[in-house]
This record gives sequence, structure tokens and C-alpha cells, in this order.
Amino acid sequence: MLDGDGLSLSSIAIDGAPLIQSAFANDANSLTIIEPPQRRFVLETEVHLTPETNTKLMGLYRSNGVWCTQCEPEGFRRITYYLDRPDCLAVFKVTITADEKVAPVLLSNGNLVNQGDAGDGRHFAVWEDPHPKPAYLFAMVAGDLGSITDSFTTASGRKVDLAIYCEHGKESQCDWAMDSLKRSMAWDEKRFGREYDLDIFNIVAVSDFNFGAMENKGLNIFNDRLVFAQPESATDANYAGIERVIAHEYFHNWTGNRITCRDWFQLCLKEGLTVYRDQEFSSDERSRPVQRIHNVQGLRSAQFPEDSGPLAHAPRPDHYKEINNFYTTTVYEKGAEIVRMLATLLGEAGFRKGMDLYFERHDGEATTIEAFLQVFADSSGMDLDQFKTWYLQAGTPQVSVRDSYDAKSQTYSLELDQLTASTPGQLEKSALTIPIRFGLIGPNGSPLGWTSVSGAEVRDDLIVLSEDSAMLRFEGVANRPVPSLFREFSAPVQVHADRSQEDMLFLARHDSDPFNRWEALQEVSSTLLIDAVGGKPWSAPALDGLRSAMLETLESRELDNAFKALALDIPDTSVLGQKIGKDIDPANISATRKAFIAALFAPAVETLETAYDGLSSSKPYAPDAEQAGRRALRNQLLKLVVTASKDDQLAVKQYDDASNMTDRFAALAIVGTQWTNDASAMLADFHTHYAIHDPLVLDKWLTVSARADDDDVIGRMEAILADPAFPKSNPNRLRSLVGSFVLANPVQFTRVDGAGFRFVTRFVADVDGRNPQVAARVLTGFRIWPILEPKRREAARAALTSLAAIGQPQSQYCRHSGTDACGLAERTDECQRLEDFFFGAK
Amino acid sequence: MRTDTEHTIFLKDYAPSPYRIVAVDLDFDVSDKVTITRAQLTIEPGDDTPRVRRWCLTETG
Repeated sequence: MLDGDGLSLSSIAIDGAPLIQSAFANDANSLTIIEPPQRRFVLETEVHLTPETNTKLMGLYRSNGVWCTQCEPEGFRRITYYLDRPDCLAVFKVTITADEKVAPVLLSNGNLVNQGDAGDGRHFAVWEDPHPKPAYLFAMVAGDLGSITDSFTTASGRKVDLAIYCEHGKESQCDWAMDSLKRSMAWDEKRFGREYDLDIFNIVAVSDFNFGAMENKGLNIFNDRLVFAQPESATDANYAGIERVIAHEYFHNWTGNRITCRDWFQLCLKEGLTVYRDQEFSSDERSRPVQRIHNVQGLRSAQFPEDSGPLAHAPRPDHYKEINNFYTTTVYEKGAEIVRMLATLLGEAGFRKGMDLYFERHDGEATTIEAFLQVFADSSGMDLDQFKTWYLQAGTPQVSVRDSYDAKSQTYSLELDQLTASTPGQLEKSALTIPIRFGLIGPNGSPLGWTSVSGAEVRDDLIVLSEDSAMLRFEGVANRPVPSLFREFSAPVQVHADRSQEDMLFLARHDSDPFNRWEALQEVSSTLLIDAVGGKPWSAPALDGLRSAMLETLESRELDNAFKALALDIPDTSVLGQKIGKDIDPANISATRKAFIAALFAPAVETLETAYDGLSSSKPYAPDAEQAGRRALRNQLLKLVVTASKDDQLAVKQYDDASNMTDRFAALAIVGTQWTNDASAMLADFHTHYAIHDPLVLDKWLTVSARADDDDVIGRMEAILADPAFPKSNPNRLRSLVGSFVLANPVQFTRVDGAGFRFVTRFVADVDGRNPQVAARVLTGFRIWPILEPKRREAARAALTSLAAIGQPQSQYCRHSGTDACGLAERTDECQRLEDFFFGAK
Repeated sequence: MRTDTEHTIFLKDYAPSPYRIVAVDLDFDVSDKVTITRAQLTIEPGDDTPRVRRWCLTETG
């Protein structure tokens, strides 16, 4: 039986002979040959498609006049009847015929083997991909596109032709993506010994795309926001994002394409590993500590809440109803953390040895997590049975730390406990192998050594915690140390350690690990803020200590500017809300946070302004790490000055004087989100002079418009959506406006009067029929409900109930957000509780 | 996103397909109103190939 999805069969034959009706059975979603030959045979089918009406953007569809495809995970069955499963590997030959004027560019996977005139103004192209691949990696593109070309010579001396196709007139905006591609190809050769394997590598940028990009073999298709960049319209963050995603999709050529997944349960095999690889690429290209902090911020803000809520699932689940619901941060980001822990346990050389064996042993296969781990076990001799639990177990482990020092015996004791709470459908949890990078720091800030250690496996700077608890005893420790644990965030866990502000600020000043220096400053700020939200105001000495440590960081000569920018940041409202964990009032948290920043930095405004001035530069814009770091710090200082002084004039001046989008947008974002006196005029100016000419700049305007901390923001967003000129079918525009509101404006989204919730549910009701994936992503913002205070929870329920009442047969929220057991087999207690809360117990 | 899947898929139920597709010849006739897709799938009965055996040996889940 072959899979189909909405197909209409026109003809069918086997080995050239048409089949009689009784020889097969078909409907829109399947095709069954009643008695298939027990030998090799050729099945011929013909179906008719209407890409123009395909608004789900899955299968073959038309974007801005261009025919293109998206087949992962199950889109190929919307193109033809097929064994649409990832372990079905076949070689593909593709012939495309189209009107030469409408579609002068005809592309598919592999190498171009023939092209020519087809008569009547039409032409054809034939592509062959010699590498067997699953159907989800199939792609074709036909349209009128511009392009830039280049080439790359592989380490073995083979020339690869590179091209990026795009809308005419945008060619000059593709240079950074091409540069990123060439650097990615060189990096994969150097770091993992992987060469590209075809004569051609093409990228196509399309404007209507539900995802970021897709790694189709030899023909990557990208959301154009992840290709186009020029200093006038793209920020440093855009440049870094393009670099990362170009690399990610390219790296899939080996981790995903040459070695693919046996089934969709193994999605983490290709995605977790490839995210790890793109993170390493970005770390090598830019500041490693800064990349690590960004990765951890993303993990904590998205994956940790997922792992502690009703949607918690293992990185390698064991059952599902709907695979689309498993493209999650757990599969991607936690999956990458698992690979990172493996690399930490094995060391750089050991990890590379295992990866080499993986490529050698499984090239050309569709394989499993077990096979992946086996190569590392075989290459290192290490038993990885317990480590495998990371893939099978949901939930974020909690690690508790207690320590003591006995000066008389010069013994330092470190007690560690791990516990993973029950998650839906997985009540019992096992102890995990947790690698803890660490150091002991002496009173003068230097590392402290020890003569012997017992109680757990310790290798150099690595503790391997594999039991529920461990008591480590370090002998011969000359002074009481301050421990620096989980350096580089060596495991995706939450750490509970009752450490004093004094010790944390000591780490912020002296730790040799930049990640933990940043973490220490964040911890001190968070503790003071959370106490204040809870009614315990901060003390002046506490603020003085924090300010002093932050200003020392700012003035450090050894730390890079990008790191300093992060070190000076104050945890945002969402992060604080998650740390508080229950009955939160985001408006109160936000107001407390603003007052905290003002109290912390008001005495230092002059110092911040001097540093800000010192970072100005007249150099022509370049998106490199050095310049981007300088701008990041300068814009961080601008934000602190505006917030602390409650005066937006410095931001207004920067907006007017800016010579690049990074600086202009930073000023706009500060003024727009804080909704200062100049916000309305600045947004109007930005729209008129920049956004109206460029859809990707329009997205920036939409984002800031949605993030305004102002009670009229909802009315303004409704007016934007009601404008007939607003492109309501484009996912990028919709996500920029409503997605930004849901995810980055917690105060207005969770308004106690429910207006924010109702705005979103009205939007979902409107967009659901056109693009359910956009609707689903927007609705995930409601996952904040369990930690809201009771009035806001009720408001969320009322809004969702009204959504259900306007025509959805089941809970729309549960259906879209995946909480209908998240595609899991049974409705778990957690899921039932969630639905009962919103819709009443049945 | 299709959300109307009625049945649950379990990892433990994984089995190689009894048939495999070894070669695909696709022909797209693209035009404004309709795109005609002709597919020639070279199909053969599956057997316990070395590759499949290896999957089974390494799969313990």
C-alpha cells in the first residue's frame, strides 16, 4: 500500500500494462495493489495537482509565482502515491517541463543531466540524484528567479558549482548566505572530514515558507528571511542567524541525508546531531562563550518549560499520533545537548573517532539512535547503556548541591543529588549520566588543587554523576574553595545550590569559565528581583555589590564585547516568571524589573554613557564578530541608559544617525517596546522610510509594534491586520506580528482583562483555515497558563472557550498546541487536567 | 498540519516494508492551472537484506 494525501489518480499501470479496476484500490490517501508481483516491477501512476490552491505549503505549492515543494515529514504523499517513510531509500530521476517564460529556472535534487526545448514555448530539465534518499528529501522548483553563482573546491580538489536563486532584484542580498555556505563547507571538511558529494549545490529563497529552511539533497529551500541580508535592512542578529541556518542545512548533507532516520521516532538523530554541529560552527566562527550563552538561553526559555509541562516527551519518543507535533525544542535543542554531553564525556578526539566510525559504518543507511550510540561505545570502549536514558526519558533533571569545608583536615566535601520529576505517561525516572565540568577557586581567584578525590568518577575537570546521589571528598584542599560547577553548562539540568551573593559575585569576577561568570551575574539579579516581586525589597548594599561587579565586567580587558553585552543584561520578565514558577503577574514583574534597572544603573549613567560613546565607530559596516560584538555592547548600554534615566533622547539620536539597520533597529526596539514619548513618531518614520519598501524590514516594524508595553497595542495590531494591504497569507508577516506579541509581550498578552488572550484567539479563528501551522505556533503561547495567577488563568480559559464555541468540535487549543496528548497514545492525566481546566470536566 | 490521525504509531511496531522502491522516475508537467505528475516507481519485494538485519541487531527499543 502506498501513501497519498488528497490525491486524485488519473491512470495506473504495471510494467506498461494498465490495471483493471479490480486490481487496485485507491482513495485520496492511499493506493493499494491487490496482488502485487513477487518480482521487480515498474508501477506507473499519474495524478493531477493544483499547487495554486495549496495554502498548507506542504507538498507542491506556489509561492509568489514560483512552484516549490516541502516534503518533510509527509509532504511527498501530496505529490504522488509513494512509500512515504524515511527508510525507503531510492535514486531519483526528475524531469520538469514548463513554460519557458513563466518558469525559466527548473531545479531538482542532484546533478543536471539534460535540458532543452520541449516545443510550444516550453522547455525541460532532467535531474538525477545518484544518492539513494527518502522521499522527504525530494525537492523541485520551477519559476522565474534571479541567481548568484560561485564555486567551492573540496579538500580532494573537486569543483562544486554553487548557486543561490531568489526573486529578481534581490541577488545582491544573497552574498552573505553564499559566503556562509562556503565557510560551512570548509568547516565540515576540517572539523568532521566531510566533503560535499555532488557537482552542484543549489539554494532557493522563497517568501512563503512555514519553516526556516529544508535540507533537500543538493537543493535546499529557504525562507527568504534566512537568506537575504544587506546592512541597510538586516541586523547583526539576522546575519548570524543566516550563517547558522545555512550551515545547519548544509551539515544535514551528512547527518540526515547520507545517513538518515529509520523512522520518525529517530528525528532527534538527525536534528539533535545537526544542531550540535551548527552550534559548534557558530562557536568557531564567533565568540564561543557568547554562542553557548545564547544556546542555553534558548534551551531554558523554550525547552525547559516544555519538559516540565503537559507536553513533556522524550527526545526519542516511543509512540505518537501526529509526527508534526514532534518538531520540538526537546528533539532539536535537548537533542543537541545530549550530543554535547557525549562529546564532553568522550573528549574531542574520542568524539571525532566515534563520528568517523558513524560515517563509515552507516553511510547510505536509514538508522537509529541505538546505532548512533553503538559506534561511540565501540570506538571508545565506554559503556553507554545508562547514557542512552537521556534519549528515552522526558523531564529536566534537578541537581541539588551542598558543600562544606573542613580547614583542619583540608577536606572539601561536595554532595550532589539528582532527581527528575514524573512527566505525563512516565512516572518512574532513572538516574542519568550527568557530566559536570567544574573547578575549585581559591580566595585569591586562582584555581585550587587537591591531592585525592573519592565518591564519584572524576577526570581532570569533569565529575561524572551517575547515581541518584554522590558525596565527593576532595583531600588536600588548602583553603575553602568557591566551587564553579557545570562550567560551559555541561548538562541540561537545573541546579539548586544555596550560594551567597558574595560567592556569586566572587565567581562573576574570578571564574575562568565565562559562562559561569555570566550565570553568576544573572543569578544575583534574579534573586534580588524575585525577592522584590515577593515583597522583599532589595537593599542598597546588594545593589552596590552587583553594580560594582557589572562595571568591572564592562571595564575588563580580557572579555570580549559580545560577552559583556550579555553580562550586563538583566533577566527579562518571561525568564523571571519561569523562575518564580507559579501565580505570576507579568505586569508586576515587569514594573519591578524596570524599577530595579533604574535603581541599579541610575548612579552609573554617566559611566555607561562614556562607555557608549567610546564604542562608536566610523568604520564601514561589516557583519563580522568583532564589529557585531561592539555594536551589541553599545546597544546594551543604550538600553540601560534609556531605562535608568527614563529619557529616550540618546536612542532618538542613535536612530537618526544610524548608518546600519543593527543600530537603527536597536534604538527603535528600545523606544518602541518601552513605549516612550517618541515611540509613535519613530515607528511611523520607520514604516514610511524603511519598512514599506522591504518585506523583511516590515517584519521588524511589525515585531516592535507588537512588543510595545502600552495598553493600546492591541488596537493598533487589529488595525494592522484589518488593513487590506496587509499580506495575511504570508507566515513571516503573521509570525512577526502575532507571534511576537504572544512570545515577547507577556504583560499585554496576559492582561488581566483578557484582551490579549481574546485578540490571539480571534486571530487563530481567522487564520486556522488558511494556515493551521501558523495558528498552532501562535497558540503555543498559551502554555504559560499554568504559572499565571488565578485571574489571568481564568481570562485565558474564557478566551479559549470562546474559540471552541465558534465551531471547533474539540478543544482547539489542545488540538493545535499538541496538548491532545501531544500526539501521544493516551490522554494523560496532565493533558486531561489541562483540558478540564479550559473546558470543564466532562 | 494534519491533526486527524486516528491511530497511534508505536516504535515497537516498526517493521521494514514488505516492498521497497529502488528507483523513482518523476515527470512534472507544470502549468498555471494544473501540474500533472507521472511517477514510475521501480519496486521489488523486500528481503532480509544485510542492511535491514543490521537495523534489527542494533535496535533494542
